[in-house]
Amino acid sequence: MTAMESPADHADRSEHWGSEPPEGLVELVEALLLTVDEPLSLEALGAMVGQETAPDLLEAALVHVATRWEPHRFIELTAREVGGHRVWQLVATAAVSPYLRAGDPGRVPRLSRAALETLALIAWRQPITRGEIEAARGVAVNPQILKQLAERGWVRSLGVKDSPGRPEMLGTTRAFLSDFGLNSLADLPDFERFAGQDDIDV
Amino acid sequence: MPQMDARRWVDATPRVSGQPLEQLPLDLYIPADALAIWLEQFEGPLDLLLYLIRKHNIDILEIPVARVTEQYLEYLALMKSMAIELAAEYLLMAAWLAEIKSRMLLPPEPRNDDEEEPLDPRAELVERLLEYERTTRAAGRLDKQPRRGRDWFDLSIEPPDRLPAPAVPSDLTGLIAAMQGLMREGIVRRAHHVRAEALSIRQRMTDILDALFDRTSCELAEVFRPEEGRMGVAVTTVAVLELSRTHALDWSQESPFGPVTLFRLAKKATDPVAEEEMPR
Repeated sequence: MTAMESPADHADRSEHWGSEPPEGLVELVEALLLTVDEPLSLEALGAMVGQETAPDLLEAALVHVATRWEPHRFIELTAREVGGHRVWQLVATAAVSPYLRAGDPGRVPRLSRAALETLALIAWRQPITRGEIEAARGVAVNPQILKQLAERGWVRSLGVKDSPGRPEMLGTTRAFLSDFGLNSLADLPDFERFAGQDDIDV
Repeated sequence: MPQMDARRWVDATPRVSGQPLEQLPLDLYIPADALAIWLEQFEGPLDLLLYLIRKHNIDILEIPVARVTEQYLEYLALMKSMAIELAAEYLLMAAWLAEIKSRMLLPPEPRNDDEEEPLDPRAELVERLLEYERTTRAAGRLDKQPRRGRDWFDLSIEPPDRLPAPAVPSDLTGLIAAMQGLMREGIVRRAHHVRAEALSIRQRMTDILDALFDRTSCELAEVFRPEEGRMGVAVTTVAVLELSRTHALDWSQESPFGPVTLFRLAKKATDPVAEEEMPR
């Protein structure tokens, strides 16, 4: 589970590190977090700041950045676990979404159950054909849903399957991983683990 | 069991003060649309079947097909009465359930390999239900995953395209020191670009002879190509010198700094390359 949590929760830990980050470093780390669109790992930050900066100093700087933004109602520093790596990103929280929607009513409608199930099958079972999705869900795939998923840039064609009718095979994109905060498909839990506990183990 | 969606947890029996309400008060009005909306939420026959099975706490591996079929058909009838347009898949499932039901009544078909137990007519249905259940849970898991554009939004401050010019040392000694530093840097970090020959002297000699193919003279400026820069000047100069050395051409200049004219000497331009090995 990659729950979002704020490193500010650990702000009290900074005293244990004993190394106060210089103010310049805090500001630099903050600027890097603001300008780089992707979440940053300690290694990525270290490579940008300079190798001579100790990782615990960087971590202390991150805690300072988190503390600086803590009073802000809409912006926070989030830490996530992606592929076994901890990454940080300064983001606007979901609290801004009603305002963004007000400014642009056509903005990203929520995903229907049908869309989520279709996306889940494509993510876990790729490459998968439309027919296979229909077999798994027991209903015809609404073309509108595939269009919606493609328009969000999450689903793409992986070519055609070498079988009668040459059906198109679908898979997820790099943008899908990025939008769901995943490093790779391996970050998704095993599909067989979704069997219920009252069912036999597969 | 991870919570998928609220609907699965909605107990269909209405309750009053915690007690299940078995019979609806006669004067209670339930808007027909409300029920229709609830029924329409099913994502298909597998979803409806799974709902019935889970609602009655039925072991999915031991589905009482007769009972489930009956309930399934009841829901179908309800949906029909609500004028919900039923997808063909619902009817297909009804037919499949009826088939399984009748197979269950028949003695099991003998199998070729009598080692295993006879095939359960429900096996495929169970497999598809389990697969669909995993799909709904995977979808629920995906929905819980923090998502860009819903749970967070990227902040982006664009850095300036051009970095500002570095501050110049304000006093002379600082400037001189900086210059010295750069000079030292220049000595240490001299770059050596090793590149393949971009312009060929042989080719240029041929080009110049081509220019003189159908006339006896031409301006030197004609054979220069300004776009080639210094390298081009050097290559053309060497080519002209080589051609004059092999007596293929000669040149004259009317006045100092005036235009240089090239003259063809050989009767007919020949390829000098073939005759003599040329320096590169």
